[in-house]
Amino acid sequence: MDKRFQRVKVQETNTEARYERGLVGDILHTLKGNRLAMLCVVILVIITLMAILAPLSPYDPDAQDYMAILQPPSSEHWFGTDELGRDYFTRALYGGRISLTVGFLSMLLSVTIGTLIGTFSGYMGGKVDTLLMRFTDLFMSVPSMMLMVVINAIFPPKLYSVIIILGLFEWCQVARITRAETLALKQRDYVIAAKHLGASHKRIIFKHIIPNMSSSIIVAGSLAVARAILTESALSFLGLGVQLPKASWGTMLQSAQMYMTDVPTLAVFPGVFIMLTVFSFNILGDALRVALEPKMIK
Amino acid sequence: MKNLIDVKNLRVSYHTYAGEVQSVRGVTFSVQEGETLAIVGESGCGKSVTAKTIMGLIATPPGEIKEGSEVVLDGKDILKQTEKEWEAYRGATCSMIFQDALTSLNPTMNVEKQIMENIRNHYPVSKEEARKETLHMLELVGIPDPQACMKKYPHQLSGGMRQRVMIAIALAGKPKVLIADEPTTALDVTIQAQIIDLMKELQKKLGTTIILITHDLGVVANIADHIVVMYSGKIMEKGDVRQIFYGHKHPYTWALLKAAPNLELSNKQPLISIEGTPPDLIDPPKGCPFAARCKYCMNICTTEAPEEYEFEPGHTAACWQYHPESGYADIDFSREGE
Amino acid sequence: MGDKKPILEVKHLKKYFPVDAKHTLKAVDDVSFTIYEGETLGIVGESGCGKTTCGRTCIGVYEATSGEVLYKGKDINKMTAVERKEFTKKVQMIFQDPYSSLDPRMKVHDIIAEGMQIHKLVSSKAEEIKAVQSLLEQVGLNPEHASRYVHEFSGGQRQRIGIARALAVNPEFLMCDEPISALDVSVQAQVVNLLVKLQKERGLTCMFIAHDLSMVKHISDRVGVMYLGNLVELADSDVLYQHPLHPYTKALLSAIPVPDPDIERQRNQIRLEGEVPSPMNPPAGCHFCNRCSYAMEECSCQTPVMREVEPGHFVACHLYDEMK
Repeated sequence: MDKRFQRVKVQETNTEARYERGLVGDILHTLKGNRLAMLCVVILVIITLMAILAPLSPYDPDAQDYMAILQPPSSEHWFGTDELGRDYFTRALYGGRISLTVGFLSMLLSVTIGTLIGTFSGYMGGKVDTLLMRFTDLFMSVPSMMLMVVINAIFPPKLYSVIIILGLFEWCQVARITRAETLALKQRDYVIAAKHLGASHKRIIFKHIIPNMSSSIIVAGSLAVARAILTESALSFLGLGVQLPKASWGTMLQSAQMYMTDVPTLAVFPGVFIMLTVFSFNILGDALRVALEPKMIK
Repeated sequence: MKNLIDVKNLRVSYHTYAGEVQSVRGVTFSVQEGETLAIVGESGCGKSVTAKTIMGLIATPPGEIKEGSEVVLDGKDILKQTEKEWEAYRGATCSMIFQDALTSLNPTMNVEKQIMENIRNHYPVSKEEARKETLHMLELVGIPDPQACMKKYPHQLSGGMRQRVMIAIALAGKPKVLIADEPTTALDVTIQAQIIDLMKELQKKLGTTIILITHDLGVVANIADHIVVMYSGKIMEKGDVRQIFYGHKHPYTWALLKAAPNLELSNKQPLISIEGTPPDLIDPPKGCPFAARCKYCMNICTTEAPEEYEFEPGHTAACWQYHPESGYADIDFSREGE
Repeated sequence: MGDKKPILEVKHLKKYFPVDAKHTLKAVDDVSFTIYEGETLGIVGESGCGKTTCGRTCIGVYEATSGEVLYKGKDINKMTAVERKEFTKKVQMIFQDPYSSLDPRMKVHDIIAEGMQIHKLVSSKAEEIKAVQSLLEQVGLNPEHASRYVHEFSGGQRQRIGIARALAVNPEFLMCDEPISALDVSVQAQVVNLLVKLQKERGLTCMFIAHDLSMVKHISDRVGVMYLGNLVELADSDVLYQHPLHPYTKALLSAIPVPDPDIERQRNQIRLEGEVPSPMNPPAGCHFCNRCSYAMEECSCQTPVMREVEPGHFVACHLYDEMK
């Protein structure tokens, strides 16, 4: 008989492995598909690296050189020098350290507080939920900038106090997002299944609800960094942020005011850094939001 | 009877992040005027994509209708229509009803407006005439109080009523072809029976050609004249309703018919199940797509795509068993014990 | 039936959901039945008839509005925390939607092992891995799949994972809530065969909820039919299908399409007029009276009670009142 027509049993090959992709994979995939978002990541990486590697600069950010004040950009001083003859490029790098640290740490703080309050509120529901959400609404309607100004005026601002204050005023957004997500997630069958397996509330919240909100939290976090950097800049610009001689980009902008007409580069450089960073975080947040929204990959 | 639609070598792909999903891979069939053709298959077999192509609803990208595909309706290749021609075509030549009536109806418009809109898009009639026609359509689809129904919004209607309204909208443009994509899947059995009766009755009255997309063989047995059985983007078998139900030749058709529990079968006997899952259409198998799950699989099935063999006029199956040299051409499924 | 031990007794169970100040949704309205050890009780009904709510209330996912559910003689709504935890170990559920019932951020191993961790059924990681792999094999999956995420699996495979999760705690009772209605026909058969096999091997008691009557008949020993929050008929599955008594059961059976053109096109079908009324505002008396062709005067004013017409065959319909 013809061999071609012999009966055989075929081993089924499971080819579905190609879809294997966790949260990190999701994010990487998004970036691959979105050039602008990718560019933003590159910008952020460069800015962060520059800030981290700032000590490699041959100049001391605080070394004053009265022989060379307010110089225009040159090969020696890439961004020129400021009114005290300090190398402006080096100062911008150190300023980035402060601004990014403030941005990240306050984001971490606000995301932690927001997630905990939001998830707890959504999960408990009922009176607890109503109470917590009204409290959040109240917090959101406080003119936070004014309050920050007042607080900073009373307590001499330190780096950590700026971080804490920013963190304390940013969590409301995160709380609202995570609460809405929790309300939806707690209806999911897998949460009901876990409950019916006898899982404790703590286990359900930390093992089933929060991990499934991670994409929303990442998006919210990305936008929170941007906001925190902007707010910090504004505070510093008002002279209420990080105090001299330490300088953030906001502080640098403030000192540049006086020389605006003579040496506009002094304002341009920190301004561009702030803009680029905030822009990148915002774009990144939006790109992630679009990409991570459909949670169930079929 | 003459052929109203000829689908020739239709190939449709979707471009996704994981690669090109070849949803429909060379499908050829024709629909006769005034008949009901059922396209049967499991989810992901390409039956809905085929229907959407005929309706011109494949978004490109991510979809892509491959070179060489042809859908000829009344002697014209509709795939070459311009966007303007498509607009005139949808609703007046060909209409579609969907599984989920709630999401396919516009929630912000009342029933009257939605039906009138469709009529006035295609026919130059006055508002008054259109309203009369709307009332007539609602009566036709068996809505108890059409006057009251006209003023209602989709969310105020029950599932069965929504489906009736959707049929009324679809038929308002007096199309030649009605494509029904799983029209009863979301409905309960008692309502399903009503809707199927309605579709049969309307076809008798209006002579509309129906293409029914479904996975429910019971519905098919009731309403279809011809049947196309699809599996992972290909046609496994096609023929008229008796040929498919009583004289099926393809192992997949057989398995599909057997997998449904029979009310006569004694309880708890193992059902005949098709082990495994359909192949991945990103990297479809070279040979017969059903080979890996088929108990009659032969060497050749894994390497070469089967040819179509014709048994009676109009009844074909794509299966290597019917190759003159295979020696299995006289296979009898009814003797298969398990 | 006398020698059978009841495992779950449901007595006058009611579950109402408040919709707004004026309306309540009476999802389950005075339902009573008993499930005996080792049997499968099927519950059928159309969407909105309250079968899912009934199932969930029976195993304590929802708290009953009134009435009681006794599991082995203990009221599940009055259990202490310890009893409650023990109860969740004994009673497990399988869900309808294979997509939303598995946590997408967890690996298969963690999903299946969760119950064992909660109830401390394994003492070491190695034991846990072994247990999960054996479960995966029992449900017909490759043990190597344990390290994967669920989105890589098809609907049928996910349903098997869901079954493995339920079996991980060695339950006695399985509540299957439409476990196959989201699956393709050929895969439905796989899952049903698996459930029947596992039930036999482990001596499980099952409650099987579905709208697909032919599947329910296939898997169940006894079948109950629900309509608008009421149980209207309950009988051995063969009896129910051959001699249905309640007009609604008759219509429901008649509406199932038969995959055979000759039979399908010739048989006389009972066609129900209209649709299921809203459970927020059901008709007075017998909830089915407005669609019933046998409706009498008393049907619209008096709610029929469930009575045993023949041994083991219960029906709630005034047509059978005089037979008693």
